[in-house]
Amino acid sequence: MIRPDIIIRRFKRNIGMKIVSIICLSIAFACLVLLFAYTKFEFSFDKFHSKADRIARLTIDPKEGLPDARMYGDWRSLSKEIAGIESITIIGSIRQAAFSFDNKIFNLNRAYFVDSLFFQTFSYPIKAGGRLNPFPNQNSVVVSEGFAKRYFDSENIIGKIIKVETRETDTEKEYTITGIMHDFPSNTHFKAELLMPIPKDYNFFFYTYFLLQTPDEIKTLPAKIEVSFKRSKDDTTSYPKVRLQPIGNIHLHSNKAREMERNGSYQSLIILISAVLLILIIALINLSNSSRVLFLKNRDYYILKRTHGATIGVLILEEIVQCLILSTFIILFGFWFVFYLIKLIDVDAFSILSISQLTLISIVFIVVLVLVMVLPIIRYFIKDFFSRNRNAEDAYMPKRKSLALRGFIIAQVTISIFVIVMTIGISKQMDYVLSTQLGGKTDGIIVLPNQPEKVIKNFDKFKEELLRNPKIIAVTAAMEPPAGAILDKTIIEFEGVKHKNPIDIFCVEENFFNFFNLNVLSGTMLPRYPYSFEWEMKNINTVLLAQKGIKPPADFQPPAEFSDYFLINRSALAELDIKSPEDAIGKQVVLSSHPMLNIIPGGRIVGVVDDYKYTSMFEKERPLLILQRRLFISNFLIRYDTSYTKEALAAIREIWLKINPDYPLRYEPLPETYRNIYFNEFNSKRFLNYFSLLSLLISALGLAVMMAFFIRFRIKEIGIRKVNGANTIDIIFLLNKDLIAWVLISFCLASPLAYYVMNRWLQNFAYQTTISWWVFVGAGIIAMLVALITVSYQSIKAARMNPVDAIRYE
Amino acid sequence: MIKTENLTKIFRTDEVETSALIDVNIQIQQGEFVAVMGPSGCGKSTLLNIIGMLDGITKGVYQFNGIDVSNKNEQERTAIRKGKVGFVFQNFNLVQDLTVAENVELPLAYLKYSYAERKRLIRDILDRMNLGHREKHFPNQLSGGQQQRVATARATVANPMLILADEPTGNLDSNNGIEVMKLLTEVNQSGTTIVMVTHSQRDAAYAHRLINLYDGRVVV
Repeated sequence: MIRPDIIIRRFKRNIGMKIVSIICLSIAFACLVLLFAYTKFEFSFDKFHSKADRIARLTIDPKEGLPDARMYGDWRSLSKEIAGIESITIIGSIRQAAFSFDNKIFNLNRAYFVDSLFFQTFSYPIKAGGRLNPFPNQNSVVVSEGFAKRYFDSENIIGKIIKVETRETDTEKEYTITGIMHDFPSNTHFKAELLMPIPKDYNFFFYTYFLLQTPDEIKTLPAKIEVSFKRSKDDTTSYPKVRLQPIGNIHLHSNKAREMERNGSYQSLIILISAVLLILIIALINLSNSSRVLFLKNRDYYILKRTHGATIGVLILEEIVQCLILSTFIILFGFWFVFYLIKLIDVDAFSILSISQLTLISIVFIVVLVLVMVLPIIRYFIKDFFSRNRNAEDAYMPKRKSLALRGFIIAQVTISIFVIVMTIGISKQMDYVLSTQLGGKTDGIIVLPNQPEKVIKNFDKFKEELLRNPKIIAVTAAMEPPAGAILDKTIIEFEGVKHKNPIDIFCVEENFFNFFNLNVLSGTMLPRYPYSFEWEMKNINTVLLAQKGIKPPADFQPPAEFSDYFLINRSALAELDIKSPEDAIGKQVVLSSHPMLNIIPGGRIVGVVDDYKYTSMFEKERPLLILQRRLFISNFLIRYDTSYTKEALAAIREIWLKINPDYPLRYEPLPETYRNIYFNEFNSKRFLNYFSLLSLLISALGLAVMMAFFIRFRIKEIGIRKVNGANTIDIIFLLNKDLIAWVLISFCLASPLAYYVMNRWLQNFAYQTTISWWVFVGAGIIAMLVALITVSYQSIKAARMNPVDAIRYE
Repeated sequence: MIKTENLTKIFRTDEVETSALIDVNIQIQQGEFVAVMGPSGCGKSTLLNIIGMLDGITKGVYQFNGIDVSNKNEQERTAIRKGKVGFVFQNFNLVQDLTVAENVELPLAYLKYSYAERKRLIRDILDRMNLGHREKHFPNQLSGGQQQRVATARATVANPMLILADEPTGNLDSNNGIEVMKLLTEVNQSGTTIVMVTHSQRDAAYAHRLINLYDGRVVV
C-alpha cells in the first residue's frame, strides 16, 4: 500500500541532497528550455516564406576567395536564358543615405532598392499598397509600420512625401509613400524599413535571389549559370564558380562580407548546444549518484517493508512516486529560472515555444529524470539485497572504488575542465583579436561610420574645427569602418607592366597612420593631398566622358603624370615581388581599370607600412595599395583625451551640428565596432563564461554530495586509522588523495579533447592566439581547487572526529 | 607506566550529564597483564579509551610513561600514542577495503619505517600469527578468529609498549577465544603491557591482576 503522508514524510528526509538535485537539474532544465527556444528560433529564419524551399541567393563560391554576399551587376536576364528559374529579384543595399520631411532630417537605415518582383518572391506581408505593383512609379517608396510609427507617429501615411538622398541617387529627390508593409519578422535575414525602386541606369552590386521552379534545381543551376556567365563575357577570362544559397540557410550558414545584416553562426549554435548538453549530463550524473546513494542509505526501510510483505512492485512504485515529486519541483523551479535567464540572454522562450511544446519538453524531461533515478537502483530489487546478512550489505554499499561512481565523477570533472579550457581559450583569442586589431584596445577613439556624401564633403572643415579643441587629439577617415571588408580591387600597372592579379585598394585620409601611431617600414607617410572632393567629382566625370570620346572642357587641367602617391603594406611586397621595404620606394604604379580611382594618371610608392590589421581577422591580411581619395573616406575616426570624455563628446556633437546641421550624428567607440563584427564569437565567449561557472557549480555540488557519502561510509576506517596513529593531516590526505587522482585522470582526458576542439574553433581566424600549456594547467588547477575547497569542510570535519565515536560508527 | 589520580570523565549532552568515571586511581607497571571487569555501562571501555589516549579526561591526572597527558589535545595525544599503544577491539575494526597485510601495515604507515622494513615486520608478525597465507585476503574472506588474529597482529606489529584489548573474545567462539587469549599472553610474555576489558572470568584468568569497576568507580 502506498500512503501519501508517508511518501511526503520520506521525501522530507535527506532534504539537503534533494535541494542540491533540484537546484542542479532545474538550472539544467532552464538551459534546455532556452536552448530549444533559441535553436528553434535560429533554424526558423526565412522558413515562413511560402516559397522558401524554392528561393535561393546567388553568390560566388567562397573557395574563389571573393567573400561578398552580393553579385556585381544585374543578372535578372538569366531567368530567360536558363530553364528552371521562375524569376529573379534583385536587392540593392542603400548605404550612407538620409531622408527628410517637415524640414527634419534622419539617417536612413535598413533601406533597399528592390524591383517589382520583391513581394511576389518573398512573403513579407503588406498592410497597404499593391503586392504586384508596389511602386506605381520611380518616385514611390514602401515603408514599414515601425518606420511610420517612429517618424510620423501614425500608420496612415500613404501619399505622404519624403525627401530621400542616397549616394546612388546622387541628389535629394522627393518620393511618395505608396505602401506600408508589416514590420519584417525577427526571424528573417534582413529587416527592411524602406524599399524603393532601383534607379534607372543603376548597375552596381545586388543581392540576387532566384525563385526556382523546383527545389531540386538548386543543385543543377550553378553549372548552367557559370556557362551563361562565360557566354556573356567579352573576353576569355575565367569567371568564378557560383553557389546558390537556400534562403533558409543564409542566417546560420552565410558569413560573407556585406551581408545585409549580421547573421547567426552555426558553429556558435553548436557550441551552445554542446555546452547545454554537457551541463545536462553533469546534472543527470549528480542525480543518478545521489538517488543511488539515497536508496542505499534507506536500505533498512526497504528491508523492513519487504520483511512485512511489501512486493517489489510496490517498492518500485514508491520510488517512482518519490522521483515524480522531485521532478515536479525541478520543472517548477526550472521555469522560474527560465524567467530570470530570459533577461540575461535575450531569448524569449515563452513566445517562441508554444504551451504544447513546453509541456512536451517538461514531460520528456520528467521521464528522463525518473529513468535516471530509478534505473540504477532497479538492480537492487533482487532477493539478496533484502538479506540482513552483513556480507550482502557490504556488497551493495557504494564503494569509493566503485567503477561507476568513479567514472561518473571523472566524467563530471572532465566536462568541467573541458569547458574551462574552451572558455579560457576563446577569451584569450578574443582578447588577442582586440589587442591585435588596430586600436582595438585603445580608449578614446570613436567611429562615425558610413557618412553620406554631403558629410564627406565637409570632412576637412569638420576636422579643422575639431582639432581646434584641445580635448580632441586626432581626426582621420578611411574607406571602410574598422574590421570592415575591403572589397575594391583594381588592376594595376607596376613599373610599366600589367600586374597579374588585381590588388586591393584602401583609401585613407593623409593622417590615418599617424592617428594609430603607426610608423613606416621605409620611406615616408602620404603627403598632403592637394585635391578636394569637388575636384574629384568633376574629374571623374571628365575621365568618364573622355572614355566615351568626349573632349574635356577647355578649363580642365589634368594632374601631372605620376603625381599620385601610394603606400603599400608588407603583404604587398611579396605580391609585387619586391625584395625589401626600401626597394619599394619610388616604384611606379598606374591604376588601370577603376574609373573612379584613376583620375590621377599614375604615381609612385612613397612608403611601406606593416600589415596593420584594420580589416577582419577572419581573413589573412591582403596585399594593399593605400592611397588618398576624398570621395571614398566615408568612415570618420576621432581620438580624444580620455580625461575629458564627456567634454570631448559634447564638443564633437556641437561641431557636428555646426558643420552638418542637416544630418544626425552617429558614432560608436572603436572597441564596440570590433565587438559588433565578432558578435557571434563574443556571444560564444559570454555563453561559455556562464556555462563554465554553471558546470563548476553543478559538479561541485555533486562532488560535495558524493564526498559526504564516501566519508560517511569511511568513518569507521577513519577511526581505525586514527587509533593506529593517523593524525588530522594524514586523514585529510587519505580522503582527498582519491579526489586528486580523479581530477588528474579528468585532466588527462579533457586536455587532448579540449586542445582538438579549441584548435578547430581557432581555424575560423586567420590570426590565432597560442593555446599555451598554462591554459590546460590553469583549468586543471581551477577544477582541483574547486573540488578540494568543496570537500575541505567535510574532510576536515571527518579528520577531526573523535576516534572513539568513529570506531563505534556502524 | 600508567598512573591516574582522581581521574574523572563526564559526558555532557544538551540536557544530560553522565559521569562515566569518578575519581579513578590506578597504577599499572610495565609488563603487567591487567584485566578490567565490571557490569555493562560501568565505564570499562571509557577507561580503556582514556588509557589509550583516544579520549581526554574531564578532571584529575593521567600519566602515561611518565608524561602527564591530562591536558593534551587530540593531536598531541596522537603523537604520544603513536607506535607505543596497540588496540584490539571486540568487533576487530579491520578496514574492509584493505587486505590483511595492508590492515597490519596501518600503524607502520604512520611511523617512519622504510618500505622494506615494513614488509619484513608484516611478514614476521603474520607468520607468528599463522596468517602468512592470508596476507592478500580481505577481512570479509576470513573467519572471526582469523580477523581477530589480524587485529592482534596489527596491534603488535609496531612492537608497542602497551596493548589495550576491549573484549577481544566477545565476538568469537570459545576455541578461537582461547587462541586469541594465548596470543595475548605470548605478547605479554615478550614484555608488552596488556590492559584488557572483559566480561569473561575465563579470559580474566589469563591476567596477572584485576581492576573492578562499578558505576565509574574502582572497587576492591
